[in-house]
Amino acid sequence: MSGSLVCVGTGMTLGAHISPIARSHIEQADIVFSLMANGFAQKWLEEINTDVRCLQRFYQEGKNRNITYNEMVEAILSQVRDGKKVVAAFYGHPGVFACVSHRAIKKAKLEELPATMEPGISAEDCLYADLAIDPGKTGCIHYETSQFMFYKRNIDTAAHLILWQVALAGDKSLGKFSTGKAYRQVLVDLLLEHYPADHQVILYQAKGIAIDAMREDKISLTDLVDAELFMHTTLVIPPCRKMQPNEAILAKLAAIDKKEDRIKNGPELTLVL
Amino acid sequence: MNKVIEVLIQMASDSSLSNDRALTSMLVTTDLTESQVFAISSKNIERLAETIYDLPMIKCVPLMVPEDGNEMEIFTCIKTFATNV
Repeated sequence: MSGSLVCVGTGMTLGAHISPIARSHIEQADIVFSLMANGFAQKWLEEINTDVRCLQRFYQEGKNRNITYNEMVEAILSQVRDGKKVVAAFYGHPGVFACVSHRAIKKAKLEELPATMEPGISAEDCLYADLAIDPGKTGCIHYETSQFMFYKRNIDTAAHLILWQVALAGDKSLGKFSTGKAYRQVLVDLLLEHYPADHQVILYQAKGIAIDAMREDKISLTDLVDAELFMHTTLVIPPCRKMQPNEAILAKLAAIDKKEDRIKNGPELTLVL
Repeated sequence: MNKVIEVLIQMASDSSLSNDRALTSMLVTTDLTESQVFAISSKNIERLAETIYDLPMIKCVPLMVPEDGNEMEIFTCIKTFATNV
């Protein structure tokens, strides 16, 4: 019998966000591998399928997460190769800021094993709802915080800037569960090149269970250094200036409008033979 | 299913339980212990967790690796473009 892999998202809030198809995959799987954000979600999972294998055992402080994730991928795929119907369940969305599912699906496909993904409600989805941000209004740029620090990225201060995994800012080792004030100061200094020191930023966390509350702490940018951050804390930086009109493009568009109006409103010509 | 998990799921999926009075009425009908009802009513997650003896421990949440082989993909694109030229 041929094995298969489905990576599913269980959403952010236990019981509220999972899709019917994702739940069905979990219930019908031979084996479910799991990476949940809290013990309640893990316990729920263990009660809807009798063979749930938690991937937490691969994590170890000081161990490079690239190695950890490759070990997780191998654990998942070895069961698919054995012909099992495997589900890998991740909290939130399995394909957003979660490389295990992408790596597992990519590797499975290279081995010609069937592998698909079912979305879940992500932290990003919750963020837009909880903080009343419409990404279409002024635009929204998302970066993984360390990547934002390691590389020269563009910043548009007229759009929202959202930095994920801010608690691990500047971790080159990929082995830390959090970085300290010195690392955060480097991030703040980088942001101060673009934003005023008293610019109000938001520390956001989606709620994990029904009695949880979402976090929406508004602080000054410079206070980020001393703020309490967790692995799932996200930094939201609202725009600090208005969008600047692109005069050159607007002039080009106006010329096209004018030309089209002239064609539309001009005298109707008839061909006289 | 564990009674606490059942209640948490009910609370998360039944919109009528979003007000405190409805929640209190629902909690009375459950088989939860007094300390579990108190933890839920006072929204005390740590205390609620302590009431489930076999609640799994979560060490780390899934995290993204900042450098995940993107350079290789960009290189492939450039190579394809050069061949077409």
